[in-house]
Amino acid sequence: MQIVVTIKQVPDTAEIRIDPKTGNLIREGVESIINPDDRHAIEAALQIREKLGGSVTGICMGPPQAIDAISEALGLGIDKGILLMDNYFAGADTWATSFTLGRAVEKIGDCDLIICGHQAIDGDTAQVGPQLAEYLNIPQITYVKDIEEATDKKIVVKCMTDKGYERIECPLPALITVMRQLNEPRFPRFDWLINACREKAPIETWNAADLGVKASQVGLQGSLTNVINTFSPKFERRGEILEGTAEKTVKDFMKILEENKLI
Amino acid sequence: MLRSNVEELLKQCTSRFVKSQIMPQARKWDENKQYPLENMKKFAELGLLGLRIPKKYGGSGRGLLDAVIVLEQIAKADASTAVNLHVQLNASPLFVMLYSGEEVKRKLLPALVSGKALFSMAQTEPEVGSNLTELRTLARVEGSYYVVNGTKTMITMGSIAHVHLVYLRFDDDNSIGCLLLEKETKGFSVGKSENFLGLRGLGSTELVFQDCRVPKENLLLKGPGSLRKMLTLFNGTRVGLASISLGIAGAAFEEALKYSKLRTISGKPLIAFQGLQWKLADMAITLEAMKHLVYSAAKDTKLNGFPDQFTSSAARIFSSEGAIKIANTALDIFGGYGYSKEFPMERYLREAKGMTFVGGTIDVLRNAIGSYLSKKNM
Amino acid sequence: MSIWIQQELCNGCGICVKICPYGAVEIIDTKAGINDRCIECAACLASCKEKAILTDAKEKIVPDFSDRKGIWVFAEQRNGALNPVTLELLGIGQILSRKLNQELSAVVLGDVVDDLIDPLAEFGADNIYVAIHPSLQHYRTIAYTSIISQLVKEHEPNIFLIGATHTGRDLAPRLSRRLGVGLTADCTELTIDPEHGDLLQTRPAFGGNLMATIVNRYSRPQMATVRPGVMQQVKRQVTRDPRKIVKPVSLTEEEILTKILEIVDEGTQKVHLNQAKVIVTGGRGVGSLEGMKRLESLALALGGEVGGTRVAVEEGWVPVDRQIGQTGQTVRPEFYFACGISGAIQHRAGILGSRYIVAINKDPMAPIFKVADWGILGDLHEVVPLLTEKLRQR
Repeated sequence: MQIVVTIKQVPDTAEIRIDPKTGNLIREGVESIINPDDRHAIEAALQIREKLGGSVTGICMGPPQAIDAISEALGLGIDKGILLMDNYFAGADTWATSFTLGRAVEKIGDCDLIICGHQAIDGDTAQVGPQLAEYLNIPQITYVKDIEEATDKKIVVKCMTDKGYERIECPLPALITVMRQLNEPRFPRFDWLINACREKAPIETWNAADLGVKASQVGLQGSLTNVINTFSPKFERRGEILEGTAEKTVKDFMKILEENKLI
Repeated sequence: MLRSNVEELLKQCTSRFVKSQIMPQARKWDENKQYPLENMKKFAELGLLGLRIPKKYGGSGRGLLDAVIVLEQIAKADASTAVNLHVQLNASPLFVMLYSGEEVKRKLLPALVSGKALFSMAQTEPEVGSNLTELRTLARVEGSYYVVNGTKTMITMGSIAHVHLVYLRFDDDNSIGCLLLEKETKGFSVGKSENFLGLRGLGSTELVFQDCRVPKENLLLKGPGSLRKMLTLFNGTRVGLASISLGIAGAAFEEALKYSKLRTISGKPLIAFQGLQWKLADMAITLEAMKHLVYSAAKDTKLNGFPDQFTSSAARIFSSEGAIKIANTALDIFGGYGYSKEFPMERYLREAKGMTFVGGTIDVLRNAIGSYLSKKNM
Repeated sequence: MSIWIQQELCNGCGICVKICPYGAVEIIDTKAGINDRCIECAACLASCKEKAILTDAKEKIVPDFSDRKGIWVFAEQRNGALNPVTLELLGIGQILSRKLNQELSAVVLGDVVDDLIDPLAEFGADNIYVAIHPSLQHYRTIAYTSIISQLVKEHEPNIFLIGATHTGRDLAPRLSRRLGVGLTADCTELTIDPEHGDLLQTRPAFGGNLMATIVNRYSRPQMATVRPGVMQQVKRQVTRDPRKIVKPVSLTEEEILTKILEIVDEGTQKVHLNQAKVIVTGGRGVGSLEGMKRLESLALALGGEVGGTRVAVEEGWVPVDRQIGQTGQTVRPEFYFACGISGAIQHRAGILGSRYIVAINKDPMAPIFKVADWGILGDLHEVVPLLTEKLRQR
């Protein structure tokens, strides 16, 4: 079983704070981590490999420091890491990202299963997985919370719906995006982390030319959407005190909820 | 070729492991005076116990610097766990690597890497403390065996370790040396366990040897020059201990800084008050100086891979005393909460204090520095 | 190839070979040539003193889409019942429709959908595109993508909105890639750019710490998924029958690939506290297990989870894995209800990332009021059941 896992390096948003004066994000000192959902994707891939054999390849698109995400994934036990790194990849929306990842998967070739994290904590879009599946013209199952069965031919999974879950069977090759409910990710081994830093570690870096893509197809230039403005939502505490009988305060509070469109 | 910086990667990955697996339980282990054996199992599973063991015995063959990086991060969450690991990384197994025969190495080193053979380092004795020259535990030569008699006290992991590295005196040549004593040895028993103020997860106990017969291949050092070799190894272990103090101090400082921004008095955060700012500034300065001393000692390999006595002693004395100061001020910043067990501040202080005793009291090191200075040419 | 070398101008100096970061320029027989590693970045152009390197690459231009008309929304249904987000999409759709003076349409797929036509019209759809087929009974990615992409290609709408539900977030990205258009996820605000008439899509990122406004200038339809519960449903007077356009469907199980083995409804699902959108937490003031039950009812009415302070955990009112604060968990919900909690610093430390904090306490001096957006001064045993009742009535 040849498995590809997509890995994104993200700032640890749990550590991100807002500057109370300027309202800007304080990114200084915020660590870069493997996107939490992607850890679950890696764990799922490793568990399947442990059962069926084969190999797990991790692909990560990012700047040079994203090498740390690849190294950590090797510490977790993936067989090979590929860093997609090119100045022209920068600023990609999900359209350009799924294209770039898609070309990388094609270059890897012969892949039975692609596992992606459900979504990234910086963008929260959950779009790259399905877009990658469409690019590769293979079926997708998103919101996967349990893998019941995996063979060389098919998988049976439980995926979450708004109301509960569905059990779905799907032939391979396929792409799944996984939720944190799926598994408990392991921690990287120290000896493997050390090996991942050595020259002969199984890491490759591929640029735009290696993928055979044009500058106009990737990154900001290849994107179809553009961010035109960013701003921090105001987080000031209002400090309104509602007094009176319980009936009155509840009535006042309901009014506040309605006026602020909070329910 | 693009590769990660190994030190930075180890630091980050250790820190994340520690935050999720060790930090949440440290308070419980402390309250229950519980030796957290599960940590050693996890360290073995993660290949950490082999950090400094040569590759041919299944390790990673790394040096003191990597061990110091890892220990500092672990000590931020639980200093006992860090000390226990330190003994495995920087102490007893290094004696085996350097002074055992090939057969013993092949038996014990892979076993350490897999967590099947954990070590203690049995130095301190009830009557003479950690003063090596006055050791009373005695090994008598009897054919192909050494027969060991004596008592050790306050031995970290005494009740858990599978192999004890025992410092002792040999009766035939009156030399100070050491050998390996396996816990199954007849006549060996674990004595009373210590009830320390802090570092309560060390599993610290007395060890009692009554006519223990140790086969000759378990000998490590004996005869002239042995003491010097042991002291050189201690230069390394000292830096390991210093990194643990550094970790405790770092955690205490970070908590105090966070709290001083969160806690308000008359509508202003604590950190807005100059009196508090000065305290924090002094803590930051001490911490920075500790870091430099510890890391420069960890990178110093001029004595066959080990730092020299002055550098390592200075690092340990300064950082263990600095940690007490920092933990104490950090506790003060928390006010009454600092004194409460609900916050970790009081534990940091207890741990910091303990680090001045673990592996030999720091005052002995002052003696060593004093004697070094008195001999030094100006 | 849109970058090439004018051979007669090339003097073979080799500067462009050094400049190219991709090894795409080689000197062959004293002249430079471009190989297939070229990514058309044009880095070499300026380096050539002889101006021998030429390109026909053009600046990325914004196409004219003025002929694209119509706002579409995806009408998500499950067992013949519309997902409420559909009506919310029609609500914002009506606003956009008036602004742009374009018609609003709904797209509905299923095996039986007749009962959905009237409500869709009533909530704003001028046209309703319908696809009926047994294979469409339950949502499946490839089946829905195939039919909807055909519809979009046939009718060429300007805007296409889909609810950011589990189904919507599975469908929308697949569809966008199939159609070759950009997509913005999980929008909370949609307006029209007064200058160009583009759809301005605003969404939270970095866990809600940052808002970003995104525009889709290069492709149509402008696709966005919209966070459920944000937009208003708007009923309207239906003046004429909606136009129903039926799309003929041919689908085979072979092309759909995925097979649903079982559908399990679990009702509400317990989520981790650190993922919960709403958390109702009790402290000392809760007083008893029965008191905690009242908070659980409130949490249920809000679709949220229950937590406790250290005291509440030690009293056994709340399990230990639900403790919030310094020694428990740090949480960042949209809504945090602190009931009978004085707000000691060790508790406050764990909740400051919450979007809104509501405190219910009878002590006006309780420090929790200082970090609350709204403080209800009163007995939680009266306030909480009343609030629960009012919320349930809605």
